[in-house]
Amino acid sequence: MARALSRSAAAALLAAAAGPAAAACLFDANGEITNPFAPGCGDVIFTYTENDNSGTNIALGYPPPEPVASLTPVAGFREYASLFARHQSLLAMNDEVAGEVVGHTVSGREIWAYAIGDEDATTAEGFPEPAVLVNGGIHAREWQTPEAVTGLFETLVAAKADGGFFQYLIENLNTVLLPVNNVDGFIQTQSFPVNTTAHREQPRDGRMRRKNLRNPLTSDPVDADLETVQDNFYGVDLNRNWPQGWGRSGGSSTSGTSLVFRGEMPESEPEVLALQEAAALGPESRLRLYSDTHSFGQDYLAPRPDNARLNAITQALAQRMIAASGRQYRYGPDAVGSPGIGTTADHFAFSLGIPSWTFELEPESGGQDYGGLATHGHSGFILPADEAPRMRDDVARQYLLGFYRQSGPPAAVAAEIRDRTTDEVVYRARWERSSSSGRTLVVDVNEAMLPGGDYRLWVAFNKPMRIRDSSGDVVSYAGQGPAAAVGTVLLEFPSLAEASDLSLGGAAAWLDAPGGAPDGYLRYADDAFALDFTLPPTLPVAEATPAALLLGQQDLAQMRLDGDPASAVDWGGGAWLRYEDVLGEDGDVGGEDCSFRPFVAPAAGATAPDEADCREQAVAPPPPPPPPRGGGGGGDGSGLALMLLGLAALRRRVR
Amino acid sequence: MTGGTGRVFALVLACCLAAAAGAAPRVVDAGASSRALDNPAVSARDAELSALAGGGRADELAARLDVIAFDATLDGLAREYLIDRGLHRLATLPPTPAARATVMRLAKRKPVVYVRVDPDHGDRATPLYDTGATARFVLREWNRGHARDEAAQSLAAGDGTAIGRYASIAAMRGKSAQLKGIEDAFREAPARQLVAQRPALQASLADGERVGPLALVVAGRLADAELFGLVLQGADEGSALAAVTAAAHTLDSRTALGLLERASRREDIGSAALLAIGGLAAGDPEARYSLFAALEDPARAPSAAAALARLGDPGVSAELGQRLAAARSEESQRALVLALRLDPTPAARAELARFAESGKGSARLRRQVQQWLAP
Repeated sequence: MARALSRSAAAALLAAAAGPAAAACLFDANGEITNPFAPGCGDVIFTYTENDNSGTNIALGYPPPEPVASLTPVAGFREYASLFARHQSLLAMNDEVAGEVVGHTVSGREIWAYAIGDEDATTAEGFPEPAVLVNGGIHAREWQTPEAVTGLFETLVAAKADGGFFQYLIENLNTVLLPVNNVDGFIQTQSFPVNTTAHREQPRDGRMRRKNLRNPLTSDPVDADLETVQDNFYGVDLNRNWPQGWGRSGGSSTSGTSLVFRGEMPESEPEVLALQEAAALGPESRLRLYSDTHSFGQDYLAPRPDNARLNAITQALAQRMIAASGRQYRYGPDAVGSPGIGTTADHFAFSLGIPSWTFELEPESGGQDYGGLATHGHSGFILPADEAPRMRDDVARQYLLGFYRQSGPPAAVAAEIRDRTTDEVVYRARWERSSSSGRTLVVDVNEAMLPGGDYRLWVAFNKPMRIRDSSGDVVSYAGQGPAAAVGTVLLEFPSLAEASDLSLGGAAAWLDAPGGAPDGYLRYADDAFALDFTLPPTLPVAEATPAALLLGQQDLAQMRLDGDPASAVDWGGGAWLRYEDVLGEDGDVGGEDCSFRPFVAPAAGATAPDEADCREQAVAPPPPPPPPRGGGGGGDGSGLALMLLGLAALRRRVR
Repeated sequence: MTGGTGRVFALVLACCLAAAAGAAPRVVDAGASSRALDNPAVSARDAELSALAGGGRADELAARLDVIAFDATLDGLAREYLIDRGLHRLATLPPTPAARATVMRLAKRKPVVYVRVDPDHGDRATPLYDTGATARFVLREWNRGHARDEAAQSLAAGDGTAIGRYASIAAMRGKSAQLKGIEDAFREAPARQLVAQRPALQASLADGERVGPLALVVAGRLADAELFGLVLQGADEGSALAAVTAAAHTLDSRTALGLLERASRREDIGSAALLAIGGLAAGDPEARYSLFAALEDPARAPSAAAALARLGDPGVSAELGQRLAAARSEESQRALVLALRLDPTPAARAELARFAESGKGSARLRRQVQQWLAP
């Protein structure tokens, strides 16, 4: 419930602010207010309105949203009590959600984190499960973020049994969400949804509080009243209180009244420790992505440790997620090696070596994006209520693609070739987990294919490779590449002339019915495709002749296949492990698969010949990430660009 | 100087100064902003704009803005500040053709003064003033005022044209200044004029027209349960959501309860309706029964649980505990446990402890309860 100012207090404050320039806050060269407790500065209270800009009113151009009591999402912003009840209901009603108190705020309120996934800690194949971590609500006034993270939570849980994309994420990824980190601050902003203090150009408490409620003079929480001026400026910036880069000049302040007060020491704040506890739910060693959700600006602001592979992966990931948005986000990296300024993203990028960023949600510019006013630069923190549903969806779409991509690259894990005339299987092979990091190819059947024979090829992958719309048609994930195409499917005969090779991809169809080969998917809808083909009767085969199936697919996030499924991909050292590239060596861009080796013979009953590698051939480089659409910013991308340039000139031979 | 002569002079001066005042975008900090505005010349111009507005002299105020927009003697920041201030004042005056022409010119301006409002934004700067956006806001405000005046006349005449106009605009564009203006007129009209609009509003709602915001205004002004019911059942989400709160505050408890119970079955506002019933339940046993009944409905159970928990009432906890002891399905147990878990009072914790000791429920549910009970 919004707290109303007493009439006398409001009158006094109005008198103290006769005009916009009368808010007599003084600023130093760094933009810090130097007289926070002086009359005419700290005691001024402004009121956000739709269209009244007179006196101490500040017009937004649209109605300032007030918190809504509703567990389910609405066209607006839910009050904290409703958000919390919503999180708890998702926890109570769904086996796929775990949750725990990861800490307490300065005021003693519980901070909860939630882990979404199945109960085991392994992927569907049995490998150790990766994890991602998303933080929300670290800065109190950024109301978009608890809504966005809650929307992501709701989306994941609502679609958990879709049989495809979402079920894959549930069963193969541990998604850890901390929807509201700065609970005290968030409640403080919701208690005063239309009021703020101090100065139009640097509004501080009430709706525009950024920091937690720490009073640096007493270590106790501030009193949360706007009428008492002394503590309205206090609090620690929870995004400056982390060890990595803590106290670095220019990034934060030693002044307790500063907007970016770093705290008395690193990790002094319980909210910071709570986020660390949330990371442990991954567990931390399994995290492959960290995102700190903020607003506004539409930026992915990424620290860049001195690790070219990590930085290239982070950039490519961000750019794929940006492409999934309906808005003009941009990628904005730090300088390589810059040690950071004590942010959460600095911590996770440097200490864990995972893609990490400060994710600034919409708007890009301010309320003008929605037909409102600039409001001294600050209207971007106050998204119009009716934009909330679209915003939630847009952010969830970006996150989900990022989760899917960081769950790991695709691998071809099973193949079958069946004689369409006799319905007999002539080739059946599958990769089975043989250790915590490896697979063994088990070939169940390998009989001769015959020239002139009609066959059905079925290939399955370890993740859904496509999604469908409500009509059941295969479609692209938003902003990603072409949807329906299967990619390269080449049946090679390495011992014959190259002209004998058969390109099969054109007739392939992704499969969204269960049942496995030859017509159904393996584990998840659209994790397999099938196609029919006929071996030419004229195929010049005089004896049992080896064949090799060359597969070149990309998943929904345009990740290429793991070139060698025998060694399962994992993450370590700030890069992919055992993700073989087009040279068959470890890298971060993948390649083609050539592990399925059927054969052809002039007559049935032939014994399988020695296997043969796929043919040496020119290899197209992986697709470059799209250019940032927002313009400006965007790192130099040197790591990824060099990698791509190098690959384009190479030829490779698949083992 | 007459208004016309003044305008010609202003435009000539503006043209002469235009080249000199071509402003390049720049980023300032809040301190620079304050320093730039702490200038007698700026204060004088601001006072002049204020006086013109106070005198209702829209043409002259607009003419001053034309001059300021190209005044190279002003710091760029001060220029944008003055234009922004002047535009907001102009928005409060009735538009004149000349003022409208000025504002339409200003609406094409791009931001030139930026500020970094959030240290986390990297090198992203945000317009400190966007006078083009402010000018467009002024045009909308004028359109809104015009629509308000037209609708007020329609309401005074007792005809139904305002509702018809609203419905046709809403059908085409969803939201606009004209819609807001018509809503303003309904908000400000005497109650007797609104009574005359009820049949037309009811018919429009029944036809599925998007007049929910108008119906909500009338329902609130007249404390009209029937209209509230129509809004809650059939209006757009925004109107229906606002009607949840308004009905609970405007109508007597029993009437509101009936409406909110029905609204609780509507997917987009059902949760809000149940929480509003919770607000009634503090003093109305029927509202409590309604929430307990909703606990049996899987779609409504979580919100009913939250609403009951907010009561913090030992009697409610005891009832929840009894139901939990008797519950057979895992789904029912989870909803009841949720209601107790969201209530931090000792009575609720005692019921949870009793459940944990009973050995009932799935292992997962018992684990959760133990976790919640942990100190």
